[in-house]
Amino acid sequence: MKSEPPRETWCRMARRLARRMNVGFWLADFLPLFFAAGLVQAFLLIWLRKNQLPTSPAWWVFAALLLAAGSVAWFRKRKRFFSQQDALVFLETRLGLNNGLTAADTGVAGWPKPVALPARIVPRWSWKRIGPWPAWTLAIMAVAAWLPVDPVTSSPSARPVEPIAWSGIESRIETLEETDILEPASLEDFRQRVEELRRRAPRDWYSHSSLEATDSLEERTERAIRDLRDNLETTARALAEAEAFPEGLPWGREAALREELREALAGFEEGLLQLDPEFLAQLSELDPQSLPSMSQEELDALRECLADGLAACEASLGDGEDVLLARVPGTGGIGEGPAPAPLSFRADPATGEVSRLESVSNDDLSRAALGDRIGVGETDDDDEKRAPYRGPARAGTIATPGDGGEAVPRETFTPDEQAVLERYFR
Amino acid sequence: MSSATSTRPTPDETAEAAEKLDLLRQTLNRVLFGQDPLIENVIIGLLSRGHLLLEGLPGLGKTELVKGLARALQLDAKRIQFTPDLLPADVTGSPILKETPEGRRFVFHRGPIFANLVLADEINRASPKTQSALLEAMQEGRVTVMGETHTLLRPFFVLATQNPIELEGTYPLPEAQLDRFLFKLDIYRNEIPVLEEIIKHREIGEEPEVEAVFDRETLVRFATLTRRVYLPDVVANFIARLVDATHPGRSRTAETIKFGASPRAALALATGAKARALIQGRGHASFEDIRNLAAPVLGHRILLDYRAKLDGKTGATIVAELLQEIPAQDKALPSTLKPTEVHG
Repeated sequence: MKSEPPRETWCRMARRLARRMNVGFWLADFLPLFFAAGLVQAFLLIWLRKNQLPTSPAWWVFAALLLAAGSVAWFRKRKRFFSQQDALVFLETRLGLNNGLTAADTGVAGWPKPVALPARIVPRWSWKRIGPWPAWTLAIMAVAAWLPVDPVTSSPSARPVEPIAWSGIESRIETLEETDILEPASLEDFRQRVEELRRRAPRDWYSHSSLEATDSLEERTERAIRDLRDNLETTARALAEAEAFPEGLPWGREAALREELREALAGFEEGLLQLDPEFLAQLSELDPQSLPSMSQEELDALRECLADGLAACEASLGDGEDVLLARVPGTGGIGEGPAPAPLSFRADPATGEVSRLESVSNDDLSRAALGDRIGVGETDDDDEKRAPYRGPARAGTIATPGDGGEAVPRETFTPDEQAVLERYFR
Repeated sequence: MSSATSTRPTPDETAEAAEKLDLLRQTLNRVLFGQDPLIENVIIGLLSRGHLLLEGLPGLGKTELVKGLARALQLDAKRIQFTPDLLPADVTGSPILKETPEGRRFVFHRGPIFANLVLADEINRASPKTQSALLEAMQEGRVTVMGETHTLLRPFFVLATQNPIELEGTYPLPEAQLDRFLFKLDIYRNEIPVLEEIIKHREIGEEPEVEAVFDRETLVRFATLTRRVYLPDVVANFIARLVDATHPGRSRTAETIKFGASPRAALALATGAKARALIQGRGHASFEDIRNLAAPVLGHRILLDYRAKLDGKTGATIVAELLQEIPAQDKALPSTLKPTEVHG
């Protein structure tokens, strides 16, 4: 086997040494960045797991960060990298070759005879400096990958609760839609108004103007339904009365019924809730005189439509009552409450008095959600057991008549006078 | 670049130089026992065309060294004993009125400085004016008397001595003049075995026999060869960093240095390193050459402040600290690798 020329041997050793040095320099800068990248990846991984999202982006980000860290480390340390010549100088310094390798590399002198590098001159890895970085990084990443985390559930309170009146209005409209006697376009008008309010920014839902508009729309809806119900009742009553007298209405009553029907018809036409045009035309032809000429089927159909409409109106208004009951007293529109003020000290459910006090608070605001219940307390609302206090009815009088002689010392005398009197009567 | 520096010495040239210079060293060793480092530095000074300042007690063989050197190299040697009343003309020479066939005229009478080797004994005892005359001649290589310039012999080599004791009535050389000496060498007392050798081989008043090793022309050729010795860039960088580190604020060691070494010191170090490489038969200088010559080159060129003096430090100890602080290679190991041993 042909022996390698000294130049090749020395250069090979120098290149190997330079590689080790350069990797060492690169690692010195890369490892802290590697740790930082691992930290970022760990936080990202936990966040993704907490939000129940795919974790692959965390690994992609980690790979990209590693690439960037490697590039940064190389860029920062490239000026300190060892060239082959530097490695030759390193070797000749350690081996005591009097710069013979440098001179030989320049061509000034011949290459020294290659020697086996003693272990003491070959730089060895300092694992005490290298090891902790990847160890900590991998530990953190492992914790991030396997640590049990509570997934964040989408809390309804994340989005502000919309004003309850909106759902009340929509509920009424939906109930009215079940009947066929109403023009769908008129119902859609109410629904669109609610949608307009809902389209506002959630932070404005409880603004003054929004709440005023809500109140106004709610009253308008209720009034329209009540008007419709009244008109339908009037019509149904007139129809029933006319049917009760198949031979003809008493004198004077016919004109009154006609007038009532005319007013109801006007109400139907001018009302916010428009009747189906066909049904409205049918109603407009109603006349106490012409009723006997209608067939029984026609009358039954008409009666059924009216009853259906009335039932829908009643049901719709009933929905409204639910909404009303759901309101907390005193928390209505701006500056005015739709219900009696609280704290009336009466066990009357109609007042909506709160008997269960609930408080909501959360020290960790980052995890707070509106509506979180953290405790429930009980209060005694049975105030009737206690005698109510009544103050003086008029100036200069005593508040209570007292029990015999006790009234005097209790109400008028000073403590000293009371003591004197007590001693006397004793 | 001159041809002298562009052509590197061949292995044969360096081998021949090393052989003959080693012979010279052996010869001088027979004149001056037990002073190997001193003799090597003297030869380096010769090859570097520099002048040496020797500091040591009387009777250690300084004059013998010069005489032996002159005989070994077949050079003309003179000795000047510096005293307070010595005048510049006593060193350089002076014109004297002389009767000639053409009539009376001034003829320049050469002083003792007109020699290849000059031993300026106890240079610090002469007045600054006389010191200055010698040092100017050392620097310029010529003397000018009454408007007439006289070139000194080639090679011209001054070995000045100064006594570290009995400093009363002396004129210490100022730093600017110290800088003109290539090396300042300390001559230490002889050890017992060396003294024994001296006792056995010497008699008072009897000069040792010294054979001629090579002639003046060969010395000049070797001096020229020294200039052609290769100085690697890394070694030049080491010299530059070392000299720079002697300046206050440039290194930790330099905190106690008042004034650092001049560029002339760097040149002296480079030339000395080349000469040492030639003596050792190398065609290139090395870090080891710099480490060996740093103390004699830099030691007398740095001015220490009071703290260093209070701590008992000298130029030589400061240079030793600098050599510990400044690494030869200007490349640090990465922190991820364990440090390794440096040879020497």
